[in-house]
Amino acid sequence: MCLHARDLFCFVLFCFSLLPSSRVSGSFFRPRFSLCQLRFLDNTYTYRMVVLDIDGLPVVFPYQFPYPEQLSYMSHLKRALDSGGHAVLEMPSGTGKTQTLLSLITAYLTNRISDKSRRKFVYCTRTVEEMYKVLDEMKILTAARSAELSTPNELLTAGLASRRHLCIHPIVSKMEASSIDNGCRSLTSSWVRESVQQGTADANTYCDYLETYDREGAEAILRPGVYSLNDLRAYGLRRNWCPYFLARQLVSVANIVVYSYHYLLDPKVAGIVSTGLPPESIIVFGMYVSRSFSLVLERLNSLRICLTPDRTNFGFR
Amino acid sequence: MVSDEAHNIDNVCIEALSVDLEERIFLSASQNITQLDSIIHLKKREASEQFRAEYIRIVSGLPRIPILNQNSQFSTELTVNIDDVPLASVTPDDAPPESVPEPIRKAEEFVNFLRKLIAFLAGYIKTETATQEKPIPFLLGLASACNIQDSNVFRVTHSRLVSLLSTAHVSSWSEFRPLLVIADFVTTLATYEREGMSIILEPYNDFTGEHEPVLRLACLDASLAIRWITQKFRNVIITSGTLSPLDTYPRMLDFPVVVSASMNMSMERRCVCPLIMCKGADQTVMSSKYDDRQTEDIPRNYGHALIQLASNVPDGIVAFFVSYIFMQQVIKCWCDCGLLEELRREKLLFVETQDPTEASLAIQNYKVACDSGRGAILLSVARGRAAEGIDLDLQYGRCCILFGVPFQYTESRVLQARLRFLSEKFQIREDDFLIFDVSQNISLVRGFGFVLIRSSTPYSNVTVYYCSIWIIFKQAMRQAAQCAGRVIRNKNDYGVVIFADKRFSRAKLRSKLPSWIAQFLTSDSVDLDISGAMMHIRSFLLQMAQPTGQTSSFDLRPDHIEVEFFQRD
Repeated sequence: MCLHARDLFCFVLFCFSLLPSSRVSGSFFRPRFSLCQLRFLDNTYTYRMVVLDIDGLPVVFPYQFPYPEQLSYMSHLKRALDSGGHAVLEMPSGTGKTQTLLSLITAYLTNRISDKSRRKFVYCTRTVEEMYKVLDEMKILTAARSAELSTPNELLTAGLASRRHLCIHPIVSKMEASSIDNGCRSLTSSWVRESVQQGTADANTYCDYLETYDREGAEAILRPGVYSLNDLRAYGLRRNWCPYFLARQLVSVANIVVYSYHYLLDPKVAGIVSTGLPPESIIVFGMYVSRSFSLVLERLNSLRICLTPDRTNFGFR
Repeated sequence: MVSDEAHNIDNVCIEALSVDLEERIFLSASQNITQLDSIIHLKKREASEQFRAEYIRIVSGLPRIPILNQNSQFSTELTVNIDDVPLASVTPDDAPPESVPEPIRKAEEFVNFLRKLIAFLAGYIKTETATQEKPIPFLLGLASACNIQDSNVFRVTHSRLVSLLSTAHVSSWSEFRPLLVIADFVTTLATYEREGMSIILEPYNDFTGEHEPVLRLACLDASLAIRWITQKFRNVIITSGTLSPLDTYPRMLDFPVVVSASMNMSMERRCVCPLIMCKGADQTVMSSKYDDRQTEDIPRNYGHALIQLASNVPDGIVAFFVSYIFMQQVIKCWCDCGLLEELRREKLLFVETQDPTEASLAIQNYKVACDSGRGAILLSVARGRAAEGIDLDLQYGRCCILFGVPFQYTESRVLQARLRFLSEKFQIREDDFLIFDVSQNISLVRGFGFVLIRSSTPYSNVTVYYCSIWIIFKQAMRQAAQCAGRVIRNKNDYGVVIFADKRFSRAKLRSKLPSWIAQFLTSDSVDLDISGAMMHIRSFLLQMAQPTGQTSSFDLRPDHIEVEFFQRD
């Protein structure tokens, strides 16, 4: 934690400049700067963030200067969450919508919903690339939060995509994208598994990852953190678990789920994947995730490597 | 061509419940049936008890394969095989029918039923005229053709097929895709027979004009797929960069909102300069109106405007025409009266053609020319192939001018049916929807085959012009619209946008501009002639070319503060 006189002065100026333009009433925010250092390998990265006060909710925002529209966005979003209704929010692309949204909802989940099992937030993206970006942002936010708040992160974030993005089976995953589903099914269908168990079929015809997961996975508890698709694959390889079915199970366990629109909107898939979501869930349809990352993110590119879930407590001071 | 930004939520909803059947699908579906038939015969000999077990299961009222229970952990009954296989198209909260009706319980009977079904649909599609039917009459015809009295048969067709496939131990679902699609068609149709659905037969391809009949089950009501979500969950938040007009989504998706807000983008300085140019140097009104196009005045004035721009604007200029035909016409006119020579003296000229490789080469060289410092002119078409993918930031798009208003006209029956439905059920007016839709989604326009120019259509009113502007914004003004973050946040970028058509100056149209553009559109930048516009441009460019000082609060985030911060630490 560190404050500098000039910085504070600047920020006061900055805040004043916001006042006439913002139409949001009430106390806006009481900014608190903090500076933390992340140690990774031999390098030290300096990471700056701000803790905002949005109508009494302390929100860790992992960038130094929030834009006025971001503050107003948070305020509107919080109003919607408080009243328990639906919302339609428009903010131009490139203004950091994703991070704004994630920061507020994460803060809301941890501070306002005391029942841990009811903390559920579903972020729907349109494409898998967007999902990667959202999960990356979430990693940064999680790192910032655990650095700032000194309480351990309790939220489990996971992404879900189709088999072709998650399969790690040595043969099936090398197949063409369109035949991965078939390949998987030919190894994992219930009758195939039955016949293998009964010894009537060759043991090579089933997927070892699924069998291991089926044996061990049910009792497994994943540590809180952010599991992107890559992390799930890496984790699957380490534990010999099928990442796809792990991700499928995580949908019901994780606090924050990032997946495609189709898992909710397409009734054919929704019936299988999404019916178990509790009614208290916060559902967000993000329409477009900007391709442009802010400069801060670019500078942190190298940092992102170390933000894997099982190392969430790495080198923070 | 599906552009990346284009898929939005109402389209996803609609696509989820729409099914297209082309002619060749029936052929492969018949092959599927034969295949399935032989599998059944083979298996029946080997393991008849499986089919008996399935029959018993079906009779006892479990038509659906048990769904993976989210709450219980993975049990031994791991229903992995059904995962990505489409189940019946009912929303998850809809109760499935009690049991599979009598006529399709037995495997052979079901296969026979499917055969009749395919024969009926394949016959239906043979018609030469385009038709549109409501679900119930169509279902009645289907029922009589298949000798079915119970409409529940259609409702469970899909789940029955899935059940049969898994009983027959078929693991390659994609082979049976055609059959599954047809079953999906029937089941979706029967499930939503009373709601916003329509059956549309289009015998001819809109683009090529060839006889390629398509039978579409068109979902007209986007709220069908999302309703269970908005009803079940406490908070549903829809957020995007472009949602305006804000009330359309809640109306179209039929759900109440407590908060709807549009955040404006804060900009450090006036980095966009929109101008509406209505008159040429000789005070002739500029317009790409079809009637006026034949005269030489309009192309000549456009040419003069471009020459003026070329001499005033450093770096790249992109000019958009409303269509390839119009572009050719104008260029020919410029060539005849020597304007082209004059233009080439100012800057290098590149033309985007309909050939994709040629167009991308032109754009590539245009960029090279811009990088060299002298700047260049790119003549392009508003909805051209290449215009879509190029980033016109920094020196590549210092100025963009739009010659005329690209009219939109749709002959798409699906879109027309949807427009009618929206106005009947949700009182969303056609032009409101078109604005909304086009501003949201260019791909819909592409996919549904909007065709240029048809001034006598019901859609050719002022608001449709606006749709077109949006397209221009989206494509030509990348620096201002989708990539706003990259460019407008960048202090060094700025750009001029010129709308060169009289019709752009109408108030109704201007009032619907997105706020970040509208805030810069002052009354003195509307209804300009060429020299007036040049004055604006010159002063704007001069102002923008100044080094950026610490004039506003936003300049408080440069790096030098951080350096100090560092040292103290």
